[in-house]
Amino acid sequence: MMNRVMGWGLLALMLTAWCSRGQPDSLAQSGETVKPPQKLVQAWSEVEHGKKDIQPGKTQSLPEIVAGLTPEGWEIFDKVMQFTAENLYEQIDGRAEFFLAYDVISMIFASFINRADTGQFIDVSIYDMGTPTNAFGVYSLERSQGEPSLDLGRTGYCSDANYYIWKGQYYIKIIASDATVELQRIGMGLARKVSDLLLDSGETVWGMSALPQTDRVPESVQYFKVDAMGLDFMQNTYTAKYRKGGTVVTIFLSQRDSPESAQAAVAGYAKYARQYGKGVDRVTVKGVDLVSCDMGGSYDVLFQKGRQMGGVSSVGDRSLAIQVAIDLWTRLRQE
Amino acid sequence: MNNKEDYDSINRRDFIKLLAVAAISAPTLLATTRSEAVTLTRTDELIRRNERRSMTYRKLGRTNFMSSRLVFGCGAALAGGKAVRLLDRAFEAGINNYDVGSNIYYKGSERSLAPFLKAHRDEVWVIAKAPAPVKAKPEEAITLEQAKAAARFWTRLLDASLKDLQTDYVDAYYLMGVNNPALVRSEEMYNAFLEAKAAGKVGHFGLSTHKNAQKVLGAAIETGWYDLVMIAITPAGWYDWSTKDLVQGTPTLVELQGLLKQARDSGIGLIGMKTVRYLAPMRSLGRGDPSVFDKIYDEKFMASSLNPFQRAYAYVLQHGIDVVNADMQNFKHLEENIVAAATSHNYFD
Repeated sequence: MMNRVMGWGLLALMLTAWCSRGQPDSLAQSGETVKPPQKLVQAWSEVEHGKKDIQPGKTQSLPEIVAGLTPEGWEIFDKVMQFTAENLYEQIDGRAEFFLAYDVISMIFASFINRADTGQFIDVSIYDMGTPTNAFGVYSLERSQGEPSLDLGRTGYCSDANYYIWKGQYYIKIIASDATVELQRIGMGLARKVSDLLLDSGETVWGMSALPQTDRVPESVQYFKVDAMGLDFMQNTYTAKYRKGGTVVTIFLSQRDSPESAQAAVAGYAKYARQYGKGVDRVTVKGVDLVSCDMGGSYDVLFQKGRQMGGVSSVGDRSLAIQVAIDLWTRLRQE
Repeated sequence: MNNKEDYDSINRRDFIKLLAVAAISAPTLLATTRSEAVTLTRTDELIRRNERRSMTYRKLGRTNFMSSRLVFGCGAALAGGKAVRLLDRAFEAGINNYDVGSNIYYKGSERSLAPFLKAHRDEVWVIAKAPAPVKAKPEEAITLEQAKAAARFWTRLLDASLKDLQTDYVDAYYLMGVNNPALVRSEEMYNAFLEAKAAGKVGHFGLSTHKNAQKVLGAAIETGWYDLVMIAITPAGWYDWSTKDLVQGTPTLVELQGLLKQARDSGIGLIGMKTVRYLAPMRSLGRGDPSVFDKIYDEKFMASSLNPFQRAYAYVLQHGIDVVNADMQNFKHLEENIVAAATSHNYFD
């Protein structure tokens, strides 16, 4: 038993170290087996089932370990594939751009098919996004609201027989061909095993703690690395929904490189509002300098505080928008 | 002009249901050869929505829909609600065709589009799509079991799309990302569409392809089932996802005119996609060289004020493609593409 626990721990530790170090020069083609460094522990399935104790020096590739997760009566279609940022598109076509925008490092893909019914499949994708922030970014933008949550990784949810998990620097997707009870059971089993396989560094995501918790709608925080709100100057921006004054508003917050950069972002926003809205005016309320944008039917109100640029968007009532913006300014730490 | 004519006097869904039920209850129709396949949705009257002076329009094959020449590609743009603010500007500019994809691929995009759709449902077309996955290589045959499973998967996603879009009807639903001609020819897939049409869920059938595209388009022409086909096409010819390059030995777009005309003559509306992907930075899956198509253009076109991306869109629009689907994630790109689509006819005789 102790050997098995040590095996799991050592395997996870070594795999995470291997995943985090960047890719070796020899990794060029999709589907090629990539062998982790020497001294990695052996097959996941052998350790899991207690068939063998740890035998240092016996190596196995990550795709082989994932292949070892094949459910009983199922088989891998073709082979377990590994993709880098360079060739990720070969597997997910245009969707790759979304992950590239968040600096994806690699992706492991396995498609399991049911031998008894080859129309049934379960696809497992494990994205290494390099940092928990980037992994949270892709998870948060793909997240479906209102789906049952999963107690796996840092958070997750399921939709029919599909499972989506954020764990540290990893984003895991498990997609099934149908929503039967059996596929749900098998998919959940895979979700648990894959999640357990991966280590979480524990590194925090800045925006999740910087954005106030009070009145925040659960599971509403999103992280946009680029083009937040369709604006090309809005990078590294968090948004979240809050219940204020009987309505739900959207707050945004961006941490820039410098106060000057934050100021430039505010200026860019005002320019956008003049072009697409009905006017901009600057007001000072309770000592806070605000930019109020009339977007024609709603208001965006924003400010700069140190390196941060933040505000509220699409609020029907201007007074409420100003009040929410001041409240946010007050709660933010100076950075 | 801002023409918002309705195209018939009875409810649209009921009309389509009548046509589809007539087709399904006559088994001899499905038993006829593919070249004799009946186009069930044809009317003589053009369908016009949200037409504005700031945009140009083209009839999409047998659908009779006068689509803006720029289609708003919602899939990537609306993921997580990112670019929803662009939708109102697009509508104001006269874009009346909004292309989105299943939540299985474009997570959250259909839900993000739903409020806009609710506000403008009778003023725009919405096209959605979903994959019908078969575990087979592009030139392999597929089994009946695989075809049935693919049809069931696709139908389930179609229903999910309607729910996410908060509508009971989409103007077209595609087989998404098809690279296998056998799937294109699959009667199981076509029957799945006909059943959805009979239920009043969808108006037209289509497909999108960016691998093995020439053969897939050929199969679509041959069956006569597809009203719309979206192809990955550039001024230099076919774009190949597998290599992030042009298809080796691809005919140029000019040389493909015969095939494209054949498609249009068979009643298919042709939509271009990935037209500027090759020009884009590496991070956006391009080659990072905006000048790569310049050698195709004549001096007059090169002297225009269009940037390389705008030139590529304008060129394909004037060389056999009815409309282009553009993935626009910020206002800057939206404005540029509006100009390209609205003025493309100015640069060619």
